[in-house]
Amino acid sequence: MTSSNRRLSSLEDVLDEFYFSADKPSPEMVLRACEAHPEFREDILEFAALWSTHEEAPASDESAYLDEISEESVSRLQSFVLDSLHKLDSKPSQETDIEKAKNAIESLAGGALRRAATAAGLGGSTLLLQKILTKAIKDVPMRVLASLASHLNVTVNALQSTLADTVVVGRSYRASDKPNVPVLETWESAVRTLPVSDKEKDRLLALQSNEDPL
Amino acid sequence: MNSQEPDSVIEALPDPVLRARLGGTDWANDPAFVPDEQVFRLLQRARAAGDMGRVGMLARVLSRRLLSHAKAFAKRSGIFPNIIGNLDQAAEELAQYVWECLITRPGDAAYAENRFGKLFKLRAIDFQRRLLAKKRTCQDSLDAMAHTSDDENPEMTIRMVPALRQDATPFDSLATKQEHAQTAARLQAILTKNEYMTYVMLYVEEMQVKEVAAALGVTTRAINNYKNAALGKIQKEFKQ
Repeated sequence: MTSSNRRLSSLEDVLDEFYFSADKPSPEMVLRACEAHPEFREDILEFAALWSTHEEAPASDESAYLDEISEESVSRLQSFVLDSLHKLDSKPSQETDIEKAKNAIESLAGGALRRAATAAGLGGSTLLLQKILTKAIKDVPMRVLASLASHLNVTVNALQSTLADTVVVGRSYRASDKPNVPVLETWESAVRTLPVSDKEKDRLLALQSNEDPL
Repeated sequence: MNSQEPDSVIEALPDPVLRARLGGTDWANDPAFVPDEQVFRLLQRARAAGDMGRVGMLARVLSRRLLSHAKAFAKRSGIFPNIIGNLDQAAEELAQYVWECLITRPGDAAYAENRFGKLFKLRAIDFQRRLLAKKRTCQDSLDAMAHTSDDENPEMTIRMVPALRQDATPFDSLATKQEHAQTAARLQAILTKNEYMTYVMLYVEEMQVKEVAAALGVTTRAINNYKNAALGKIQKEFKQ
C-alpha cells in the first residue's frame, strides 16, 4: 500500500468515526474532531459541511421515487451486484485450487512421477505424462486428466488451468537459433512414438475414444 | 425494529410469498413491511447458504430500494443537477457505489445489517465528496487566476440573497438555514472547497468566524476572504 493510500484509508476511518458519533454535525463536534486530527482539518470540515447541508435541505417524498425507477436500472444494478458477489465468492477457492494444483505438479519427480503416470492410466509411461504436463499434447483424453487430478487430489478445472499456464516445451528463445515454433502433438502421434508394445499403444489410444479433448 | 419478525421466519417463507412481502413500500403504516436492514440480512444469509436464487431476488429488491434512496439523496444534496445532469444516472452511480461498499467492506455490511439508512447516508456523502474533488481539480486552478471584481460585493450579495439578511424569529432562522443549505447545494460545484465549507459553517451551522478559523487552523482574515469570495460567486449566480 502506498503512503497516499494509507492516508486515504485513515482519513476514511476518521470521517467514519466522526459521522457515527452523532446524528447530525454540531460546531462542537467539528472543533473537537479538527483538534484531534489536525492533519485532516479540511476534509473533516468539508465532510461536515456536506452533511450539514444535506440535513438542513428540505427532504423530498422518497416513496414517490420508487414508482419512477425503471426496470432497466434495477436490472443493471442487480447484475452488477450478482457479478461482484460471484467474483468475490469464487476467487479465494479458485485461487487456492490452482495454487494446490501448481504445487502438486511441481512435486512430481522420480518415483512420484511414475506413480502419477500409473494412476493416470498411462501404464507407467513417464514420457507421456511429461508431455501432458508440459502441454505438448493438444488433445489429452479427459479421463486421463480426471484420473491424474484425482491422484493429485485437485479439481480437474484447477489442473486444466494450471496446465494452460505452463510454458510449452521445446520453445527456443536463443538469438543464435532460428525461431523455434513448437509443434503440438496429437494424442495419437504421442502414443505411436512411445517405446511400448502395440497392445499397450492400443490401450492408450482407446482412452481417447468418445472423449472431449482438453 | 422491535416489531420486526425474526429473520428465520421471513426466510422460511416460500419464494412467491416472500416476493410479495418484499414488494411492500409503506414502511410507516404496513406492519408486514420488511425493512432494508432485514432485506440485507436475508441476502447475507442466503449468500452464506449458497442459495443464489434467493440472493438474486433479494439483490433485485434492495437494488430497487437503493435506487429510490439514491434518487432522493442526489436531488436533496444537489448532486443532481449541479454535478451530474441526469437524475437516473446520478442515482445509478450512487447506488452502485453504496453496493460496492456493502459487498467489499465487512464493517459497512455489519453496520448496514442494523442501521441501513445511516450507513447509506454516510457512503452517499462520501460519494458526493469524491465527485466534488474530481470536479474541483480544474475549478481550483481557475480560481487561483481569478481576481475580485467590482461586481463581487458581499454587501450587495446580502441584499440579493434573502437568506443572508438578519432573522426576525426562530422560525425565520430555521427557514433561513434551509435556504442557505439549498444555496450551498446549488453552488457546491462552483465554490472552492474552502469557500464552500466556510459558507456552510458560517450560515448553516452558524459557527463564528473565529471558530471556523480555529477548526481550519487559519487566520480569521483568511476565513473572511473565503466568505467574501463565496458571497461574490453567489451574487453572480443569483444575478443570472
